[in-house]
Amino acid sequence: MRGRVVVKSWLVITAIAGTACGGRTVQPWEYAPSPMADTLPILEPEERDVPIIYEAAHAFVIDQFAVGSPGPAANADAMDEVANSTWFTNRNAVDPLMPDEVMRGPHTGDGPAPGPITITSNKSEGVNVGFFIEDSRGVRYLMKLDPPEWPEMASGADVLATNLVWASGYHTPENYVYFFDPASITIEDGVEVDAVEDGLVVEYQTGADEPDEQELTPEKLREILLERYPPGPDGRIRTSASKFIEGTPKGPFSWKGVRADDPNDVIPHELRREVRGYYVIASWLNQTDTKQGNTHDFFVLDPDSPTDDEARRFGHLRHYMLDNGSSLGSGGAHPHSRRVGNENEFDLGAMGMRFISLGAYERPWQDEVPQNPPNIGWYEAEPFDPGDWRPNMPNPAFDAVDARDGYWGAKIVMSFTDAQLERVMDASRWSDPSVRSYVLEGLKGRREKIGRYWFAEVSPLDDPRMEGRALVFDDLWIRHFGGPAQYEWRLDWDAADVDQAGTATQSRIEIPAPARPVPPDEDPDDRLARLRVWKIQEGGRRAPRPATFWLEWDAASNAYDVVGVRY
Amino acid sequence: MRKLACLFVLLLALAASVTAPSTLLGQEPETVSPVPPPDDPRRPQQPPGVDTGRNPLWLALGSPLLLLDHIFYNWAAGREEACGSMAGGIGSSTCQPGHATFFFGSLGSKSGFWGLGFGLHNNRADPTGFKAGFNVAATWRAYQEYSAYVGWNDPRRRPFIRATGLYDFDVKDRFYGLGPDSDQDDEADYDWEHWGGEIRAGLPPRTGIWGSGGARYEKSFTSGGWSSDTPNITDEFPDLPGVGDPQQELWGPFGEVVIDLTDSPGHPIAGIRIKGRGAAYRSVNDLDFNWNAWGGEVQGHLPLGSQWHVLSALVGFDQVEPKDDQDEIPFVYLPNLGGSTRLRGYDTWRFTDETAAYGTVEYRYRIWHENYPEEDQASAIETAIFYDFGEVGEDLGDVRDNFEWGDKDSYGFEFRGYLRENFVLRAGVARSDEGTRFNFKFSDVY
Repeated sequence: MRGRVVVKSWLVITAIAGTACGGRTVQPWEYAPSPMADTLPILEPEERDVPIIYEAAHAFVIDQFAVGSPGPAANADAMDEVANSTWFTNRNAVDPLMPDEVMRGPHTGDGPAPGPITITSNKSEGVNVGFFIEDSRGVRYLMKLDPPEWPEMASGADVLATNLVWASGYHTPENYVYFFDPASITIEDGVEVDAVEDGLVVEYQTGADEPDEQELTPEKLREILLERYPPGPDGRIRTSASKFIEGTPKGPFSWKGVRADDPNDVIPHELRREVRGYYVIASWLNQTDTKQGNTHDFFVLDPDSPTDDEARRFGHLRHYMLDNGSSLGSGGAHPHSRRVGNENEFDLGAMGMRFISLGAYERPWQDEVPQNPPNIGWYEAEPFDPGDWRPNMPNPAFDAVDARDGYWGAKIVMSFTDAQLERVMDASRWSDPSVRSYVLEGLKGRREKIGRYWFAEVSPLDDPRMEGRALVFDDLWIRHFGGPAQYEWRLDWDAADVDQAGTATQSRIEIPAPARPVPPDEDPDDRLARLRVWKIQEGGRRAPRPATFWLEWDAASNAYDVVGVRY
Repeated sequence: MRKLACLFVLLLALAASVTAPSTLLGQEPETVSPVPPPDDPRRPQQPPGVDTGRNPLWLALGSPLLLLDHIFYNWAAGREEACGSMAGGIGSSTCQPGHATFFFGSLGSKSGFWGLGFGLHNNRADPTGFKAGFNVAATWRAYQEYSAYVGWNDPRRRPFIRATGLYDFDVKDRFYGLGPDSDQDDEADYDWEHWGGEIRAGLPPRTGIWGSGGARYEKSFTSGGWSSDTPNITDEFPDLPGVGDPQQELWGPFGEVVIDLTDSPGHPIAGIRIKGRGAAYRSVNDLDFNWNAWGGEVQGHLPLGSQWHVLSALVGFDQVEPKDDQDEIPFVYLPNLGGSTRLRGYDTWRFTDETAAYGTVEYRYRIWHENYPEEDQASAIETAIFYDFGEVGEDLGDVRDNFEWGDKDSYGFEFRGYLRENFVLRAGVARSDEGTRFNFKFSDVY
């Protein structure tokens, strides 16, 4: 009995000690990130590995017992934005891309060169069949075949979603829709293929030396591939080809914590705005397979580093989002059903609710509906709840998303214009026009729902600036959805002894000059004027959160400057 | 003294030459490291309030958990190294030749026992369809079973033939007497040892007609139990056939036919299934143990609006009859109710007679299913709220006369885990007027 009490006490105290404690909001004047500071050289780290069983056990079970929130994102700059780094580059939302640029995404060429390819080894992870190849110029790619029952599904989704993720600001590989000729392949030793013959699986391998293995020749491989993957009229088989990324692979990054062997990695990933905000981009694209294995760190060698593997090489890590084959309507090996994105693969919360309610609790996706258009899987705006979208596996960074992160991500998603989306469809090279229009409708519909949801969670007053004595901003709700401009505001400024409130019907608010000199005060909280502005939403309700602007009075120029904002 | 002072100065100079900066000695300066130190101010700075270190209290108290986590990580990494994580039909066969499976146990408030078993099965794809494997299972101080098989094809997937050898030793089993009025207070215990083999061929479960048939040979022997707390069966029921008798040596054919009109044989949501079974047992060693056994079962499944809610009902019976007037049936081969399948709120073998009829009505609701394109094949977890009823008697007419609603019934709920290959893990709790039982079992859904 006493032993049980000791064990229980230990568990409780340990749980409390290990619990994440909510952090505080970092004020604009407290943190000024230096762009690309994390490219300062580090010694080459070891490759990191996260077994999928280990990750799944943590995500689905162990981490479910964690309580508390890590708190708000910590690396937002003074304007509540994210500085460029090895994680993220501000692209479309800050400097809109041309539609052609979105369509090309990260592409620096046209994919594998025409001509024969050499299969160098098998792809050993993931659900789809694939090979590592070298094209006729010696450039290396990972080639993945679409599931035979759903040709064009995964390859199209992968390339299209990858290009949009890149245009959003993340590092991605160059993924291409690639048609290869099975008649012009050579195979290096060690490649294995399982073929189903007479209902039984038979192993073929180059250099077969086991009694139950058959020799894999290019002719046999061609026969197996053509039997399983019907070629097009020109005899070629459609695949996706992912170009090898510059640098040395160092394993996936974690969605939580820091990488101990990278001195540049000082902000826990679940507190990085761009990592949390990826939730919104992933929800838009229904990229549900956000396991760690679909991220990767690449070690980029410094120009001055020795290149010998044995030497102490130095450089920096760059962080990538890989493999979007499980996005849009594609689940990689099979199509997404309505459930995907609306419930974790093993959702203890939903399961518990169903159990307790004797099955009366139902998620919206459980309705019976007609199945999807062929080859592409379910990808629609209904049922899609931008605030309750769920990846296959619970993700600690996504679990930490708050209204500010959601707003940041929604600004990126809403920055994509119809023209850009229509153009990027070409990257998928889907042959069926109805598939193109189906996915395009899904992208537009989900984009709208994301904007409406996340812009309503805050006061979406973007790009604040001073025009004379007035603070001017862009109301993103009005820009995208229309409606009247109505605001309530409150100005409080301890140093100038100001406390005023008012309303406005334009996206500009006149700020009075201080009635008396502002004493120099070391505490910015007192020295700066704080203006909180609430958007009045449809129905006359205040937005749940104000946009808070900090203004600095410059007595010399008799003007204000916007020095910070928090949404 | 002077010499000592000179030596001291000389040593100092020597030491200085070793430790002095190389520039002072006219040598080339060491190369400055191109990698700034971790705390170089040019590196990204931590925002205020952000701490990447672990709480020391957590590190101290949680170290056993961290150690377990580390062990788990290494196991998972080793497995992935050997098998790959997932590989769409390529390169993953190294982990297929065998796999461990858990066996069933039964947890009960009175007569059940808990235990664990494992099996090693040759599941490697073989062009000849050859299959082999063995199982070992045991419960704490109560039960052990060893079986091995060889054959062709997986019975869950393809037409098959299989030869199985079995050794089974149960101790501390309970018996309460024959008939519908057997009393819990008449509990007696016994040991049962039997071994033998069978050859079975059949068709895998599918919509339409399936089933199997074959012949078996076995030896069976019962004796008084070991327990000092429970009366011995040889004292309580000395005249029962099979008690105190010599070892029985039996053989006979058996068969089972299923007319399956359900939508998914392994995991029915809608439809009807009718099952018939029969067997003959003949004594090889000239004892009067010769009998026939048969039974049947009808089950129906009705989805309530969607596959997430299903109403299921089942009725069935088992009956045995001696071949001739002088023949007898060892009590361990008599139909019975109770345990983890029929009348789940009662102890295993609680009611025994020559005929047993049973029924179940249950509401099943799914709480999870795998995201898999063929939903009827997807793994799933369901909860079932059930009501069991049943009765025993000498024949079906006797059962009908004895049956009374509310007399022998139980209710409870179960979790059921379905894997893709018609494999069901059942775990639940059932209550009857004789107590509460916990059940944990691998079996068909119903």
